Amino acid sequence: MKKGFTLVEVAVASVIILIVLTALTFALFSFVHGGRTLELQQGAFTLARVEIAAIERLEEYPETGVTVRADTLLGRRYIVETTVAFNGENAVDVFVEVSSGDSVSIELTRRFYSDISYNRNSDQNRNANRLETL
Amino acid sequence: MIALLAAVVVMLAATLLIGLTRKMVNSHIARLETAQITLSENSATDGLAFLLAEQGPGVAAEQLQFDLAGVSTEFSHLGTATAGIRTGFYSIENAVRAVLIPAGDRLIAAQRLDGSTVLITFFSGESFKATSEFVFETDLQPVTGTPILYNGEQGAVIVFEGNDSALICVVTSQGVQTQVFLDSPVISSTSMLSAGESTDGTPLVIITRGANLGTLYNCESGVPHHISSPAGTCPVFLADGSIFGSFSSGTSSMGIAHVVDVFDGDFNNDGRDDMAFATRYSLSVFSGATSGILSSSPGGSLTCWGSVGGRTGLCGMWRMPNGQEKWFRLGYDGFTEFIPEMNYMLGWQGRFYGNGSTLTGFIDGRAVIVSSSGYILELLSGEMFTGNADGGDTDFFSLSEDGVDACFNPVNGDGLRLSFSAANRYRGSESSGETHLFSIYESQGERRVFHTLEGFDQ
Repeated sequence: MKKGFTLVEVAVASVIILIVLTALTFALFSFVHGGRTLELQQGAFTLARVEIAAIERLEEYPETGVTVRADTLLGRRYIVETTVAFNGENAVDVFVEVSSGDSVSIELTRRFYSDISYNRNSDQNRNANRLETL
Repeated sequence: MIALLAAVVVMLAATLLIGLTRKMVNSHIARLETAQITLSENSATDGLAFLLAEQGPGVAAEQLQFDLAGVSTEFSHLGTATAGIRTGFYSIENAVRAVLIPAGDRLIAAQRLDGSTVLITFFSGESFKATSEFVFETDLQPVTGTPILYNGEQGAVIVFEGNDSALICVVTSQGVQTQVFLDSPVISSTSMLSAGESTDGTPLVIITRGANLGTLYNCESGVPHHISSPAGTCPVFLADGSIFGSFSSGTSSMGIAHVVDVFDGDFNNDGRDDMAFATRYSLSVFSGATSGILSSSPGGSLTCWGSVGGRTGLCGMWRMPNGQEKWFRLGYDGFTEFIPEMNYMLGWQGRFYGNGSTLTGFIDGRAVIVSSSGYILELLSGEMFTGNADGGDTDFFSLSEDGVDACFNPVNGDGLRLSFSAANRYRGSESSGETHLFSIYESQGERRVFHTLEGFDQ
């Protein structure tokens, strides 16, 4: 007579394999989903840094207020929202928020300092002194 | 048993996957935090530079803490030393063949790329790097230029010429703003340029041949207006934007000495900008308050001249036919002879610049600075020019094949160098930041602060 597995052994083994496969499926799903989210986050992070770097290179402060634009990176679409607000008399805060869908959002903040009121007055004085003829 | 073993292996794989995911997420979060910490430290550095410029080096003794986006950056003062005179280098290929225009807070270069294109480059006066550049199509050669404030931005009026035509362009970092063709060349070896604008913002340029007759060109329409000024001066835009000179064809400039230098300043301390004109024989001042002209031409050749704040004011030295040197300085109602200190009598050539008892200028074809104790330091040599490219006082530039060496505001002498270490606190953990160096230069009540990191060139 051939020796084989009992029904109980097969049942226990099946349950174990089922549990393990479920766990593996969950882990794989988490890995793939997490990987995608991470790629989106890294794209958003790159765009936020690029946006801040572009503002750092400006010779003058950007206009205060909120600007929103769409951007794409590696085929993925992002929304870049830049908020510029005065912080006291001599500083402006720049908030850059890059999002993609509801789950991905990156925010970076930079502050710039200058004698803003002085520069404004200089321009006004200069305009007042312009040539009156011709 | 086999099922259990298989299960263990699969569970291990799953655990590894989850662990890997967690590691990637943590790594991403760490990069994000590091980026924000860096931005906060950079912001704090700007804030400290602003404080140093506003309140002076005394702020180093205070508690210096800046908070941004949950990051708290604190600076600790490490020490104070001498900064030395600020120098820099602009990397410009074939700089000797370029038209170079120091324009307020930047250096503008125009150079021919080939037979039909000219490259216009804007260099930052702080970082010496090209901040913008564009190519301009013309077969004419850039010959000279002058700075202009156009729509609030420092730009330049550049004149291009060929055999039988000329082109006047206004350029800013955004590109060519206006251009107008003229049917004949307008520049000579003695030409002087001065730029301004009309009430409606139209850029204008006055081009003289050095003498008291000049032509005012509208840079949009090209319409010329002839302007004349008294002998010993030349038509020019004054510091307040108005024009010195009258709109008439004037008399002949034959026999009138060419103006070799024009510069502004409050020479009679009345709170208004005046304009000084130097020729080979005379030094004249147009008073911004009275519109009168005071002049000195005691005979002989005007060899050197300059304005020394806090000491002699506007003065010049004439070498008489018998070899004697005579010094005259501007007083309340004219020029009077005086005997200067020893550091004035070192053989200055052309205009010198002074602040207290420190003088800088050219001696024996070298740019030098002379301290109050008589110590002479060579700044630059070779083919040189002066101007303002960093927003401060007059800077000195020396040309070479691969670029331009610059020495900034030497008349203000050495500065202070303060060093600080930065520490950043974020979510309860503290990390050390960079070591920051701030060079502070003071002149005439204004402080200029330049920042660099330890180990990096300015």
